[in-house]
Amino acid sequence: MTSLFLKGPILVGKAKRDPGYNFDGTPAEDMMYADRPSQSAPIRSDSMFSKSDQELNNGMIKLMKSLSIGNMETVALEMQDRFSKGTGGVYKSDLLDKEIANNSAFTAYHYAFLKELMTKFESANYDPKKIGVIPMGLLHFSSFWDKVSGLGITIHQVWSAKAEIENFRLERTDSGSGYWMFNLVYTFYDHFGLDWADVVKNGDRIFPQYHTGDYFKAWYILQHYRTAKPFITEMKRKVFLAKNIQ
Amino acid sequence: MNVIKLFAIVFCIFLLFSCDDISPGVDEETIHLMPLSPYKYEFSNQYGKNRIDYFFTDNDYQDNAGFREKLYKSVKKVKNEVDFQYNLYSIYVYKKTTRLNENFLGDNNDLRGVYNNDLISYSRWNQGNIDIFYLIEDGKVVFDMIKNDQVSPSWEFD
Repeated sequence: MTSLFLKGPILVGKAKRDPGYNFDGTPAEDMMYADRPSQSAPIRSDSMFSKSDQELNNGMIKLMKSLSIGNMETVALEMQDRFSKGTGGVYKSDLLDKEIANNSAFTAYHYAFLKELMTKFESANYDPKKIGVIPMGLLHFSSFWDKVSGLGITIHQVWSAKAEIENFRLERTDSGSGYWMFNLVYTFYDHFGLDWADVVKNGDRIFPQYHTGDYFKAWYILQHYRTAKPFITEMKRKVFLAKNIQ
Repeated sequence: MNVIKLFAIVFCIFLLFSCDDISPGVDEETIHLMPLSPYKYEFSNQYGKNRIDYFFTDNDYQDNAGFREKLYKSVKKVKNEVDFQYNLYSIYVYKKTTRLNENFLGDNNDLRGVYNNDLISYSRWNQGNIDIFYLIEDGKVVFDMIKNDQVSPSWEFD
């Protein structure tokens, strides 16, 4: 009889970039603030640039409200408030975690990762320490529903991710049969901030509101030319897994 | 005398063909990658020294195996000429446009985010091992060369 318990966490998956950094290792522009980036020179002659902090924040609040509903509106406004106050740090929210748990994009992402994990887990003879670290893709929320309900504006595409095994238990008889069970814990990281590419992409938007593009510019100006501070959003999702070994 | 002249002509023709054969990056097996300003960007962090090289090419992104293979060979050829082992070594390949060409004088900040829609590929060597080779179309990652598979759904390269 073999009995094994590992509390963990044991790292089994990781995205190809870390929070706060680009794939190439340079710092991510959407996490910088009060830096007046050279490539954003055109915004200095935009009509939004002369607006007060209060006017810009009001625009950003309108943006959050127009692209979120229900619990996600609460989350979006909390995030905007944290941003405008310059708190920085890491933002966590149970409401946001629940929203991700119920999202179809997460379900598809989870099954794709699980397939790879199970292949390696079986090859490692059910020893999680021998699985290694599997490269993870980036979960993104791009459906029409995500765009109108809140995950689009608050997260859109996660920046980084990791997967860990916790509370692993294996019981096997000498003949090899038995069972295993563990929690697979996903942690996703995103940047609540904008880079110049976001303004290039969204600065002319007139949907869902005529001034949506201006509100994106307000967000960018507050972050890169005024006193607002971007922050890391951390989201967690725990999945219980168990199976008999024949 | 005529024999000497004939020999000289034959020798010149031979030289011409030889030069054509050894010209870098113009054979049919690869795609001609031309250096794009800022050409090379080196920086250090807690993990060590990192480097980014920038190129542009006349070719547009093409969704076929032949193009992918040629691009892969061309990028690897560039990497093979770098003898130092960086912590991260990245290569960006853009398509030639009216703004991104041999006359472009911008730095890495001028490129980042502004020209993502003109990116064709991003590849990375981590501690000397290739771990990323994305093909990018309209700013979205559409093909993973490491997995040799389409990326579906595609996602924004940012």
